[in-house]
Amino acid sequence: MKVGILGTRHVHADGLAAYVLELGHELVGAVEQDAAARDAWTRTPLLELDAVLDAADAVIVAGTNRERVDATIAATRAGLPTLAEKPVAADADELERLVAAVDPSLVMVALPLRFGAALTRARSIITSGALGRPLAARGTNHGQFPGGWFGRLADSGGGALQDHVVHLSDVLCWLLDDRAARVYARSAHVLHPDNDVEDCGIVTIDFESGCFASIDSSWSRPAAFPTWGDVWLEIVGTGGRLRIDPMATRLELYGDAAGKLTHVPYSDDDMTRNMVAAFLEFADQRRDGGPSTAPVSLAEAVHASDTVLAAYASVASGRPEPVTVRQSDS
Amino acid sequence: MDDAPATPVGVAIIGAGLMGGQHAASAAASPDVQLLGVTAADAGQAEQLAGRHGCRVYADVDAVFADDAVEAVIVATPTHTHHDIALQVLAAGRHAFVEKPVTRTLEDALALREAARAADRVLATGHVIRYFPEYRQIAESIARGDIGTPAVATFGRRCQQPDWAPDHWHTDMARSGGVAVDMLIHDVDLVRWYFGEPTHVYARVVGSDRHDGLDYALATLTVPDGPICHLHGSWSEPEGFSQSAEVCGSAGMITYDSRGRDELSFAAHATNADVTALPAPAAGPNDPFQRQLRDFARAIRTGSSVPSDIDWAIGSLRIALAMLESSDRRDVVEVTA
Repeated sequence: MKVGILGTRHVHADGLAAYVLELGHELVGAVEQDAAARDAWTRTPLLELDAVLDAADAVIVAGTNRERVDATIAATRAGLPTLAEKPVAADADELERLVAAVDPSLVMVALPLRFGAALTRARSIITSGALGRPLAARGTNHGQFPGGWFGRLADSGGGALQDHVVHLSDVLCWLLDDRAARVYARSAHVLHPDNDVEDCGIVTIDFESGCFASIDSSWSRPAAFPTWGDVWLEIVGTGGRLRIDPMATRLELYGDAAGKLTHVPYSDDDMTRNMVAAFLEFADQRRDGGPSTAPVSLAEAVHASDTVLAAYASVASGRPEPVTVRQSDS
Repeated sequence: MDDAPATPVGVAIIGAGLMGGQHAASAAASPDVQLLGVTAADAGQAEQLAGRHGCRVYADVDAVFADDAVEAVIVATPTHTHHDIALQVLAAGRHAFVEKPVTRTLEDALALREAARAADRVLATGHVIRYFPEYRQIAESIARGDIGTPAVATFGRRCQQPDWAPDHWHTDMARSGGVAVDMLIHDVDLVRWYFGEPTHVYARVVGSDRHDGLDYALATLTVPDGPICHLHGSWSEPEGFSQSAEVCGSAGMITYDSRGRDELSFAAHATNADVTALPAPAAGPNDPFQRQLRDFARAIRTGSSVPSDIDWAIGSLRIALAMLESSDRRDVVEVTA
């Protein structure tokens, strides 16, 4: 399969492209307008948009949040299966534009957590009934500040809430077969004063089932932290307590070169690689007129973005706010 | 420990459950108090505890008050009984130490404050978290500026379903207040200690009376000019008790998790052993309960104030009850002193 890259400025862009090659597929080229990003990109030739869309069998959309909707619409209008980075849109207006213009049957969204072994096993534990009725959950998806455009509202549409809440809110919906109904959120902008977005946030979500959860999505890991951040989730049900720490499979390296403790992951189960493989398989099937529901559907990612928009509404109002219910949800 | 009062304060303990046991162990080891005896609704439990520490068993509270050597009484009974028992203690002219939560309702706490004033007796409360060295070190680290300006702080504690009390009072929200009131009140103490008085509370609570005592509570507290404060409490943790804290700031982050931080650990081979997942009674120079007793004894002997006085307890109870109210109303609750 020939894969094109629309936008390279997301921190995952090069990694996703590398997995395409590792999995035995080709890269036809990338589209990038930003001069500095063009200089930084070495993975593929840089081409015009039409050239990439003509040559590619599938595309990965990995620019800034603000660029994402235009790129996703262009790719799907060209009839190409598309892996879109998350969040799928920078703000509410962009999200509406996306939903109105895009063919959802061509879109998969890059939410990699679902593709790790720990999450897959967690889902089977829940499906088996061992957890019982889910009562409450708590998760953290901390990070260091990812840098660059992530800190600029014009490019990102938001900070720590925008960047990280979607991962665990989506995972909870997927694991619990549930949907977010109401959100309370608090945010702060203390850690990176030069940015114009929030760097800390804690959201509390009420799900339709009555289960509730909090997610700490703060960019609160200091430079001295051993790695980029964390992903951690616990769910309590009437049958037991489930705890998920996909990054637990690691060594701890005390290296004088780094001047701090660093983590060395050792698991051969790579969720992002699994996700790219799932996308390429989906794209291959779509080319042959196969199943039209992606492993992570656009509707699911739109719901995650609606959850984040409710969080921003809550920050503004100081009250819990409802999550938008869409026609496509039913 | 230095500076013990010249004459230890004679104390009796009412209640021989988890906390009665902890106070008996700490009082027996403390140079500041003399453990005279215990009484409990369950006479067998009282005898067992008295036997362990070589003190007497009182048949009931009247027998406690009939003992002239008893200067002060530690009330370590179920939360909903604190008010009535503490009133009796004060009416009997004794100083009172009341476990946290000081009462189940705000009205009861205010009544206790009035009673202590009228009786001119010391009324101390078991808001013990300030005596834990790990939490004091976090306070000092924040104050030193190790982490810069705090931006987000998370505090939590968890244990298994609380089914150890014979009458299962924990699983009755009306008696215990559930994990939010019974356990997270410690974390409310931390927020108030480190950052000041919260003005807004949003919480979601399962409630301990719905699923055989399983409970889970999440709360977000707004403190003016402080970090976002998030509390998490669980009575649904099969691995037993642990507590944790994390404060993130502009120059760093300080974290603490009691899991894996035991200086000493002994476990019998698990062929037939019960899982005793409650913390062993604290002991030695780090025993926060002995430090707490010291302040209580000093207040009795010298008239000094106790840091965890009834006003402090009322302040934390107010926040903890606001969590329940917020969860019931599904809305933010504004807290006013």
